[in-house]
Amino acid sequence: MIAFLRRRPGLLPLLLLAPAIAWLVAFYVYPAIQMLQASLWSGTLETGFAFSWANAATYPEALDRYSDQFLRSILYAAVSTVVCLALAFPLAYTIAYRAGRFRTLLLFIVIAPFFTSFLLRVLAWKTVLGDDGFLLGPLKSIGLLPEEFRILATPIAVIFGISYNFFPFMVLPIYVSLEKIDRRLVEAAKDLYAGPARAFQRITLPLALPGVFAGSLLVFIPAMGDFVNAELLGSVQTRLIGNVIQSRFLVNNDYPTAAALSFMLMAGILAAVFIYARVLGTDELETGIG
Amino acid sequence: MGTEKKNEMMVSRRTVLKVGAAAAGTAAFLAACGTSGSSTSPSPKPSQSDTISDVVNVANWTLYIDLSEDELARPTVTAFETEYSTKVNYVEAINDNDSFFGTIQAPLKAGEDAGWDIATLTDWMAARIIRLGWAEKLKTAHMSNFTANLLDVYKGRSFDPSVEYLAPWAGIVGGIAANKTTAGFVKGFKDLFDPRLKGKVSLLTEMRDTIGLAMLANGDDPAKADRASFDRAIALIEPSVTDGTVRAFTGNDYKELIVKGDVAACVAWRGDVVQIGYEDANIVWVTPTEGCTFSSDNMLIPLGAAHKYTAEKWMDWYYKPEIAAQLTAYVQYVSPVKGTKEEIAKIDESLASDPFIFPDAALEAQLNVFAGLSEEDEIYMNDAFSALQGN
Amino acid sequence: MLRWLGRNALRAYTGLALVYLLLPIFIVALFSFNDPVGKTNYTWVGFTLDHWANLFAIPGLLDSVIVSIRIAFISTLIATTLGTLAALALVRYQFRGRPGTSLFIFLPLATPEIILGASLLTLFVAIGRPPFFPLNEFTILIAHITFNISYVIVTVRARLSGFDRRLEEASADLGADGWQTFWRVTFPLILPGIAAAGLLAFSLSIDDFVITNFTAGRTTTFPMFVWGSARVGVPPQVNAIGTIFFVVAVSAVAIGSFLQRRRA
Repeated sequence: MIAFLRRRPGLLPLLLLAPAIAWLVAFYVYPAIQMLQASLWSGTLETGFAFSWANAATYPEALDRYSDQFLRSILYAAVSTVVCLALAFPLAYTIAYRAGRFRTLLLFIVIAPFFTSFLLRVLAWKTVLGDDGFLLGPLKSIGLLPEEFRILATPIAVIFGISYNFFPFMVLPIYVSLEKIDRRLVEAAKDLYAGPARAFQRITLPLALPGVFAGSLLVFIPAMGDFVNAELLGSVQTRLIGNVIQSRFLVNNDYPTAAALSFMLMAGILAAVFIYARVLGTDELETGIG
Repeated sequence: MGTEKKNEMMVSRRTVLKVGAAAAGTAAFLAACGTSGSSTSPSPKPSQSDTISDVVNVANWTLYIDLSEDELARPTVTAFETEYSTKVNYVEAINDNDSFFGTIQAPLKAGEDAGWDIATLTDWMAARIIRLGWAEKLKTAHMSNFTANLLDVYKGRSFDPSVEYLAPWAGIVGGIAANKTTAGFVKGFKDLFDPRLKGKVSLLTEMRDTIGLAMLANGDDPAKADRASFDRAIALIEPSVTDGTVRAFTGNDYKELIVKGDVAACVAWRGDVVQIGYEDANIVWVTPTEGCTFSSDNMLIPLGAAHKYTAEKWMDWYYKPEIAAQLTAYVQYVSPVKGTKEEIAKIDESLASDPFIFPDAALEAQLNVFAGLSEEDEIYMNDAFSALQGN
Repeated sequence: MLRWLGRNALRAYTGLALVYLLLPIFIVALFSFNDPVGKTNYTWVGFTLDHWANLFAIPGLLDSVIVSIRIAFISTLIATTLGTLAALALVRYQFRGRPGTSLFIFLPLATPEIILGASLLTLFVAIGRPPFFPLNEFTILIAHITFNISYVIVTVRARLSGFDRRLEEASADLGADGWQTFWRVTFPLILPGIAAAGLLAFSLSIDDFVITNFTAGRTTTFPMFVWGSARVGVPPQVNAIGTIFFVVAVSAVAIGSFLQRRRA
């Protein structure tokens, strides 16, 4: 076998790749094709499903019926991404440049939430943010907040939950790009542009952009598919497209609509990623030249 | 793991005895169970299929079984395990009919064992499963308690006319739960939409309860539900969903919301509210002025279940009046078992005269059963009700 | 002056951010010691060790933890093996179609979990026979391996790209054959990367809810148990298990980084 490979070295990488690729083809690509087919079914579970290209009408129908949830998902995911970015940048900056010997510890705390159960974390926030919970209860009893004030079951709670859960995905890539920056560049810039603010704007920020880019994708993508935060922290008015897909699939057994929605969500995400890459990519190029 | 199991059994046996002591009538019986299990073998085994299996998988709703004082053991379940030397895998897997159906439909459709030997489902869902041919026919020959003690009102129901598939678990009265502050002004369904309750109200995902109460509030009869009265009910609820008065649609999980204080009044099931009251005396039941909904949950054996005989024995077990009494005294739902009233009097005299457990003529007049629906109407209503919930 | 303010504002902000990150973990642990009145564990009533002493008194909890650990272990083993091989191919060899392959491997990471879960459900339903159907522990395992493979490839590849090829050449110069070079030189060097990927895969698997929810059937994993019990009130024992998971994970990472530092 080894002798055979020595004669044809070109085969080795293919051989190494084959098992993983075969697995992904069988359990990622093939199911996607199955789902495409299911989105073109008609019928109900009781009567059975039949395939026809004419059922493509399911797509515009589903898009029309669930346009609110789609738009809400995009809005919440975008806001969560911006919130994460705003919160994560200063933290990543501190860890990269100001933390000294605490750097490892701080990095560790950033990823610590991943070591407890995701659901338990969301439920913990549900406890903390409860209408009469730790946070609001005392504020209400001393009269700082009106009795009917609440955070749970509002868009704020859902965006808060999403932001919290994907926050480390934003901090880590930004930290990595900041850490890579050659500090001598910044020092030189401080001399050139006379001032830390300008140096930050002209050197640090542009060089951190790849991290910002990666972090934003890592937050935006899972946020688009979220249903757990919306389910546990939200209300009827905060249902996201993830909730609809989940309940169409698992509760209503409406496979065609659920599959069509999944496909449109996936297409939407890929389009968003592509546009984002184009916009940010060209920007980066320009700042690089300038 | 072995020691773990042993400890668990010891705990349960102790609690069985404790409960037995509390309920004088059942004490002797349970004490007997406590010793009989290991020594005597169960009933004769006529054929391979008519034997008690090592395990029986039971799916039920939450808050639907008696608990010991420390809430870790289920006395009537433990007694069954001891009696038949089997293990009951009792799972509170059902939060609402639709989502549970979603989990079992695929295997049943494929003619596979869905993994449950018993599923406890509401009338209309049980009816759908029978219609689809996905329920096992019961072999009532070895279900002597069931044949003797099923109340007559549950015989001859349109979806199971000759009692071939279903063993009713409990009758359910649907109405309103409130806390002591809001109970002052929540008297009927429409009061749930009072501005004082903005964002503090939950409704049930169970369409027939939520829509049924809305129909009553509109002066429509749920027993004659049609698309017109359904649309009127939706029109009554929708504005309050849109303006955020209604915080959530729930299954049994309204319990968590109302105990925590996130919900101040909600559509609820009567037995649940009594059980929640054990935990938080602040939560009370409100009989809506316009009347209540009534339905029942039924045990059935999904087609292809692996342990049918044991499942039948399980059904039969809860038709022993003393077991039914022990269960009913805890869960406080309407008992479908003859003789429960006499047995329950031995546990607590006041329960025997509670109309919500043994409905009297006055309450019966207030109970409303939702109409049976054609498949088209059901799809129409489910779809609109689903849209109301943001799906 | 401005600078002093800037620095301290940043410091205060960092403190707040850390509290924000750690608060839920603290709450989870705290409520494992609570002594609630009924099933609802929301308000602090009193301190007790009862739930730690009776960790598995809740029916089904122990089983769910065992199932979760078993699935996490097997899926990590398989995904790490497949993923490492693929990562080696992508870093060490130039071949036609490499950029396309990289993109393809990135795709599952860009797919929301809910879609991965839903499409696997569609597949299993369409196959419609054992071992894929009815849904069971095996189908969960397949799902977990699927989402873990890409994570492993990306992680191992990141570690491999800083790899010094001259070490292998030196080994070859000293007369070692390809096999010996791999096991004596290459493998020990990439082992930390593989271990990191394995750890990541394990933690992703043991905590996955969304995909599992679609592919589990009647099998209950620990996250599914949490989801189910959330409807009626999460028992303090569940918080205790969550706390144990946290402590074990933290210890594993601490030991891992200690060993690596000693080696370096």
